[in-house]
Amino acid sequence: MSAASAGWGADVRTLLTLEWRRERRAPQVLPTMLLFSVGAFVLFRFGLQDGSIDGTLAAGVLLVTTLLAALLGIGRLWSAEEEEGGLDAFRLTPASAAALVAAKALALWSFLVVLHLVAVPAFAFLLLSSSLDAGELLRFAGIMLLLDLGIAAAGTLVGAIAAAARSRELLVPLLAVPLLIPVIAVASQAVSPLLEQHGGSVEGRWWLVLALYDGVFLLVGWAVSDGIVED
Amino acid sequence: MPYARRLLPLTLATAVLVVAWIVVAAAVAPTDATEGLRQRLTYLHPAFAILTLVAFVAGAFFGWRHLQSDRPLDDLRAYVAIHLGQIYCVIALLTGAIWGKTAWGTFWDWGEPVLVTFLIIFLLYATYQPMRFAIEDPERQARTASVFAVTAGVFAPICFGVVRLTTNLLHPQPLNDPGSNLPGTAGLAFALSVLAIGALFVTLWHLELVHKSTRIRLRKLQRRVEGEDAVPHLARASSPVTL
Repeated sequence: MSAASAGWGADVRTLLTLEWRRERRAPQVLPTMLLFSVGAFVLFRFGLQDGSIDGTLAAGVLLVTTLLAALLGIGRLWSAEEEEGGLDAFRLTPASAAALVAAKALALWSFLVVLHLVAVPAFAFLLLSSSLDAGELLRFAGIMLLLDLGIAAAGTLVGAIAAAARSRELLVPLLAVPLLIPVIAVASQAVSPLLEQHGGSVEGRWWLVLALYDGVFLLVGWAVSDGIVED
Repeated sequence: MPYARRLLPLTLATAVLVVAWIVVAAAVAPTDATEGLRQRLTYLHPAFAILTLVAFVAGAFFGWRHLQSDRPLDDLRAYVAIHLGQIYCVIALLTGAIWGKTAWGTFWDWGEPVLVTFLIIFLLYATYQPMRFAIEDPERQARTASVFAVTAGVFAPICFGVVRLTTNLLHPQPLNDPGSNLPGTAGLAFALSVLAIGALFVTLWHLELVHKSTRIRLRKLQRRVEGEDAVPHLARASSPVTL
């Protein structure tokens, strides 16, 4: 590993640690996303009356709730940089803009992973009528990891774009919902068979499309990072 | 100003192509035996839809160039491409709805993924101006708009690709389905529609660039002659660059 890439990795780690320290010191994003998700599942429990769902309906409820919860996280992702002068402070450091964007994406990804660690068991307890064996659970986890990475990669860009504007709370859902529709659509196709009563298999192409979506938005984030951070 | 010099030959070439397209599409190409007059919308609607995507990808290209070079002209090019793309998108949606009414009996089908995808892309790009003009600082406004242009420009083709993979399509796929290839003069009319509407896009793009560049230069000269305070800065909502 070259010194430059080692330095870049160290910058990303430092910035990621900073994001988590900020979240631990004054929890904002995670508790909001968690409470929203569990609240939404309870709402679905009442709204669907029976409350027991599986297959495509279960996938839809879980993924749309994830998307809406992610919007809350995306809206707060760049708030410290905008409101507390974090971006000005960052510009004084030798770290690259790509490191900041990567750290923001990793922070959002880790928040979403933690969200799913709590929200998916809550979803299974409150709504899901089918059960998953070990192999299905592993495939389900893999798809959710790829979905979260896609949301994080696109969400970081949306958060950065909206953060510069006066009406950022209004812009985040307007920008994020259309951008995230493909990744939600593909994840729904991939997850639905696993949530069926009798189980099922995931077609290989959904893995590929999810990975492609993630890769493209990570690449776009890296390519436009200077434009986001530059003064 | 190179754009002004290109305007006249471009306008002439566009006029020739548009006349040829109208003549071939309206008079030369035969009326379809099963679809009747409705089939002639094939020479209008798909071309606008294709050029909409081309405009958004061009916006992404110029946005990317602006992020690299920081030249205001590249931002202006991206702005104009996206602006024209939005107009083309509205025309594609309207002509598609008319075709849908005649073919499917309804102006809009929420179960049809191609239509919904196009609407999603339109809604995404509809946030371009509100997003842009909600940013006070002109340089930051230009940079953020370029980030948006690149992100949305990459997204549009991906969105269509994913929709084609995930769903069964009711909407015809004339470019993919070998069985629906247009024969003879019908194929010529379709090709001419894409060429003419593409040429119209390029000409309008040049025209708007010349118009905006001229206004910028005129106001700069006015300020030099009459003083900075004599020419007030226009509201940013009327232009991507401070005039």
